[in-house]
Amino acid sequence: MTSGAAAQDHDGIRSDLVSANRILGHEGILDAYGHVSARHPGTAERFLLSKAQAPDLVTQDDLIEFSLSGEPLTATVQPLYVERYIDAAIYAARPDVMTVCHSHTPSILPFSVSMTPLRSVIHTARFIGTGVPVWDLAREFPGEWSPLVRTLEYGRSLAAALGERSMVLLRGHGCVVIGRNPQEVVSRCITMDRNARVQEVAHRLGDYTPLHQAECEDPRNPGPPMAPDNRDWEYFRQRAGL
Amino acid sequence: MQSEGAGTRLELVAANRILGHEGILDAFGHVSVRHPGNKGHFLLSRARAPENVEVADILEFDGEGGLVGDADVIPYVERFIHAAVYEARPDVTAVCHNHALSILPFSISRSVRLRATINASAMFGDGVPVWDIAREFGEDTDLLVRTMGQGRSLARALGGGPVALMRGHGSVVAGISLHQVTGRCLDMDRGAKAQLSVMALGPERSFTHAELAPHPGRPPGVTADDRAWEYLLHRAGLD
Repeated sequence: MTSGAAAQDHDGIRSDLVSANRILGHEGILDAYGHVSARHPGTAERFLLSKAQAPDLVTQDDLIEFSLSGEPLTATVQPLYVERYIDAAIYAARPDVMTVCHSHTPSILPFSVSMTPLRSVIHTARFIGTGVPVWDLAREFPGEWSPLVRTLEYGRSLAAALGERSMVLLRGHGCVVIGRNPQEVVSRCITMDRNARVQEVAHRLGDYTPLHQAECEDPRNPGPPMAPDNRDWEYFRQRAGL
Repeated sequence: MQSEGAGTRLELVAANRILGHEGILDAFGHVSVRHPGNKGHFLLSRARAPENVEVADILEFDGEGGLVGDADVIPYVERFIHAAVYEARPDVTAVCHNHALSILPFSISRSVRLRATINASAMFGDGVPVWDIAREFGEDTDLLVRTMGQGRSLARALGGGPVALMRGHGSVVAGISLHQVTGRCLDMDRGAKAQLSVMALGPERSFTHAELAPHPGRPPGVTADDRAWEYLLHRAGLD
């Protein structure tokens, strides 16, 4: 039996997850590819993710429930995101994580290849920290022909690289950003993009001062998952025509 | 019955919308104006993305950044930037705090200063000052200007100039009117972008000191004149 509050929670998270898809598509964090999911609000061993399609096109009817092994709970003829094992493995490894985004955002890709670490340089991106680890599928699984996280085993390896952090890069591929609700992940993805652009330009200009360690967010003790006025969520929803 | 300063409030809403539309402000950042009837106070929106600001969102603050009246709303945390700049600068009537992407690399660079390269950025002179909150307030802040003390420290870095950068954070832009501050924000953005391109192209034809020095025949800084303001209103869908 589902309580009224839980049902409302469930509707709320489905609606917020659709908004997150549309916003991240509209802002150019995601394009035809990449995806964002949310843990099921009533059943922690499940998560919600769209059928395979461009995030900008996602509606509530497209959301499918998956188990933490990355398989749909009920048989479906819909195409599925190959890399849903990223989400499955992270939800299994991190009980604190409620939303996961996997993106190929152009601004962060150079940092997934360069030996220069992506790190917090602007205050809105305090969550990034003093150096984002880069997970390299080819190194973890020698001989693998595909760069995609297409098995639960690969997902678990990636989740281990993420550890307690809020973000991990995938070499030559993209990144994963986690958070406590869709609002937090949207905010993090957008500030991550800005941070990467600023850091890349500053690096080309010479020496620069990144955020000091104590200025960065402690991933084990983060601040509130969204601003009390929620002003960026309102702003980005409006921009995405929601 | 219109409240005192109704025209000023409308103009402040327009400046919010324009700076949002032009990408100087996004979900964050804010712009204020000195209260037309009480020079010790200023007008600023409640905490809201500038592009969404309406007349009903405009609040009055005192010289210490305290909310005048008892509205049940959330104010911007960093209103102390405005309070401190108005306190230090009687010549200033409008202030914008922004995180414009183009200037952020210059706020953290130890190698390159944001400086004049084109007419629009002549106001940068030899280099825009950079205020680093860690210098006075330590390395364990969240970089936000949360107190009058921090605001006053920033106002000292701004000095008598039009712009100060804030390390890893953004900038503060001051001017004699909302039109001028709006124009300066757009010029700041153009200037930062131009400088990056100039530097990528190699040797420069730089401004001379004489060109950048104050001149009695030159107005005190660029401004969005009537033509520019009309254009910006149009672009933001406000005409």
